[in-house]
Amino acid sequence: VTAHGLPEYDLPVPIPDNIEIGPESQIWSRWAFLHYRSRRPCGLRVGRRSALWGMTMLDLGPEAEVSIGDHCTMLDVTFATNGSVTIGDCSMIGHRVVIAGAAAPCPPTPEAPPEPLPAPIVIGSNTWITAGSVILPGARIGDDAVVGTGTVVDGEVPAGATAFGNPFRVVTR
Amino acid sequence: VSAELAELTGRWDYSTLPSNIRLGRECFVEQRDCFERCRSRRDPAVMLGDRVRVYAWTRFSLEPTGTVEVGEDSTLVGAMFMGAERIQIGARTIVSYFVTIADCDFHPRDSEARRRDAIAIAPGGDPADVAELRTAPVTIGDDVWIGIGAIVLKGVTIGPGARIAPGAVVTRDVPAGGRVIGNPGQLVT
Repeated sequence: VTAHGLPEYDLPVPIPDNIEIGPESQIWSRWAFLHYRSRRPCGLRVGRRSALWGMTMLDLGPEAEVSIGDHCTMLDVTFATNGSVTIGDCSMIGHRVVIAGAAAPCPPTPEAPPEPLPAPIVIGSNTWITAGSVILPGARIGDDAVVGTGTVVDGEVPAGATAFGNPFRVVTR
Repeated sequence: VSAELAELTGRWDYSTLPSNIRLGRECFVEQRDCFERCRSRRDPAVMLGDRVRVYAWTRFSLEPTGTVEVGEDSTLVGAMFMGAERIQIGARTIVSYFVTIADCDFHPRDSEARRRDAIAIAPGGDPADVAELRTAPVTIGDDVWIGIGAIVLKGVTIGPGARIAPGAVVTRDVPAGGRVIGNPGQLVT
């Protein structure tokens, strides 16, 4: 780890077996898997020509499944959930966005009792989720939607709409 | 486990921390870098209770006069502490990802004073011209949850059992069991 707290490319974090990364996709740093604990057959699926840049991190519980389509860019995105997250093609998310299974999630201790799985998060294609936003269980963000900076989304954003604010509001064109 | 991986996963030698950082029994500090910006000259500067867990996103950014105290069994996932006086957190409290807790504004509101401050802290500036810090301690009770990306500002007291929603900005005291959402933060029942 460098003086600025940024990881090097070659952190010694092991890459898990149960992931599928499509052709020409990239993961910038093994940092992404420091907290990866998914035991699903496929905990992370990334399509083709997608990238997980910067400090993107998969803080996934044993039941978590994250699926990312083609041509997606994730920059400094934290996935912190024990549930399912689906992201369509051509979506751009970042930076410092958290996609989470609870309002104040934290990595469990070995002795903590299992909690009920959070509602799935579904993010469509060609979405743009901007800096500092928080995406919570039950969020359904439609195709072509935009989420403004610092927005907290825990419900429906219709296709093509823009969501902003906290609590969030939706404007449609 | 390689020595390098041990440094990322909390299995490094905690006795190498400065002596004014006190850890209780069975504390977990994932990465030593959490203390990289701790410039406090107070002793103790940071006091963590028993079984406190500190994950990678946490930073103790303390001025020479700053202190942080955390009660037992609390979890700091991603707290950015910006301290110049005193930040106190109770027991069994969870501070989530990208939360900022500050007991000071660090720079003056007045535009002329702020211009002098900006020049003083910039390269080549005179440290003697840095504006005096105006601080007010932050106190957070037991069993509080502070949601993702929330911001807690100086002088705030949050009562036990309160819930701070993701992205909320807390500028006023929160009663025991209170729930705060939004920016600016609103108390909801």
